[in-house]
Amino acid sequence: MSAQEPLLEVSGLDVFYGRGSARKQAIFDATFSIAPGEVVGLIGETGSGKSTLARTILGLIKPDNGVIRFEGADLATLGHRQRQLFRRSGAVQYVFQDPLRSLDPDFTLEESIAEPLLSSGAHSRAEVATKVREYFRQVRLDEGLLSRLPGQVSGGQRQRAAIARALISEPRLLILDEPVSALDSANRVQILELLQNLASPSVSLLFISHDLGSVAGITDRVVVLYRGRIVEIDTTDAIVNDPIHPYTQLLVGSAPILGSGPSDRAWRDDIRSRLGAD
Amino acid sequence: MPTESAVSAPIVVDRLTIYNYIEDVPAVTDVSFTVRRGEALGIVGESGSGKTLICRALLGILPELFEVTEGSISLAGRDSSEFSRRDWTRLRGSTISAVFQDPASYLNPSIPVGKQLAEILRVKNGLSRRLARERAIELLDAVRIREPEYVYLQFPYELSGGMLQRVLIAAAVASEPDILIADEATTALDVTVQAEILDLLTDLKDRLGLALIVVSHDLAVVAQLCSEVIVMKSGEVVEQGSTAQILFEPRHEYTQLLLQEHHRFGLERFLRPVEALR
Repeated sequence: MSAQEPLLEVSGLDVFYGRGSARKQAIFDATFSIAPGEVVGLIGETGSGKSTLARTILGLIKPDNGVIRFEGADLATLGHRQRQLFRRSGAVQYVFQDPLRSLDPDFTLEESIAEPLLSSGAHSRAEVATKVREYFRQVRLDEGLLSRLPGQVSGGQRQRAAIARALISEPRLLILDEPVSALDSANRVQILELLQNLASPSVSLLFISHDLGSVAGITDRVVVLYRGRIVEIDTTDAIVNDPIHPYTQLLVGSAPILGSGPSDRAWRDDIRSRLGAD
Repeated sequence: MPTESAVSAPIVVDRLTIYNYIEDVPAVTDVSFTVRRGEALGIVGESGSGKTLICRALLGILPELFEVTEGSISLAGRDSSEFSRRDWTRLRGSTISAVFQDPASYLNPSIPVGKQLAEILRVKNGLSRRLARERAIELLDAVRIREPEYVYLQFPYELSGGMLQRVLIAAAVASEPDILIADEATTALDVTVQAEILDLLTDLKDRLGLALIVVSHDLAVVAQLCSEVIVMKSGEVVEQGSTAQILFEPRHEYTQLLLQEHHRFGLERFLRPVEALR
């Protein structure tokens, strides 16, 4: 990595769920960082803890141990009220797989996108209206859709509106949780293109996905999470071509690849037995 | 592999058109294909492209107000337009079978999975209780479930999505069908589990000489298993040909979009050429 100060620095993070005998550790000693403008993939299977890790970074979950340094400030030690203030600052934004979770069904797209700015109270209505249109254009939505409700537009248009709503607060980190898995190919390609163009020194992206194959091409680096532990962090090129941890090898070897022909089962069985021995 | 003429192939679909009488539009137009024993055909398309309607027509379970209006489906040498409801009931399972995306929804949550498998064998194959139990355990073993006697007694909620899909595949092949349809059968699974299920389907196709029809939104999944691919969009076949032809000489822009998505955003972007053809 460059000598540049990281935007986000997570170190020694432990997260537990539940109380007493039901207490269970979801994240074990997670350490990784995101540089300004970097696009990082957080990849893991169902139950690996990737959403827990993302929600902890977002300030929704208080970690039991560890440091989350965002632009130098430690988020992990903030109290409930301070974490709430941090969330409202909009510095970190979250986009869900299902845009209906980011958009109020009773708000028009314009109202939903304007809401973060209006609630901050720092802008006049005219300024907000101008900004909403600016971000609407940036996510390539037609202005004619501004007055529609989320239920009256397509899934791809809804996801774009959710991204516009996330962007309008000018976040430094955008966390995208499976942002394209519910969309068809044409929309997936367009939204990935949009996100690729978005990454700039002022915005970093954290892509959460169970499927490395669907987002690899947009990422600079990949963090592989397996059963609550980060097992490998490297450039996407190295992860794809020279995976080191057996789970990463299995993950890369399992991804359907165009023209790869029949898969090599004996090889995967071997990796699986090695993983079991871990 | 014995060569069979198209006439004796287990499934021959000729210029199939399915009409939607709810919206008064054709839902699927002019689809033709033949699948021989031990061969696999892939159908790729978005949700709403008509691929699942084709599967339902092949199984004789089209939704109400959807009808085959032109063309024909021949199963095991017989024209399906002549089938009575009893014929269909007899053919489903013994000639043509299917597995779908959400295995849990096809199982009764309050009955152990093995018992449900044995019930199929008693009803469809007329086996005694004891034989049905023995055969069910054999089938669980055949779909590579470790400790089949133990899994036999487990309830659906105790098993992972991948294990449940194995149980459903065991049920689908219980009456030794000629044709197996896998309609988005691995879509909801983690990539590493998807690879195992795809391996299993390939193995069953080869071992039992099944005519396999793989339906997926992911061209790479289909290309891995199938020698012939049909690409569908809005109810129409936009391209059909050998897998190599579709992958390396795509003619339709929609097929090109599907390939482009992999090359730009998938692992393919990083794979060195030699490995891409591994």
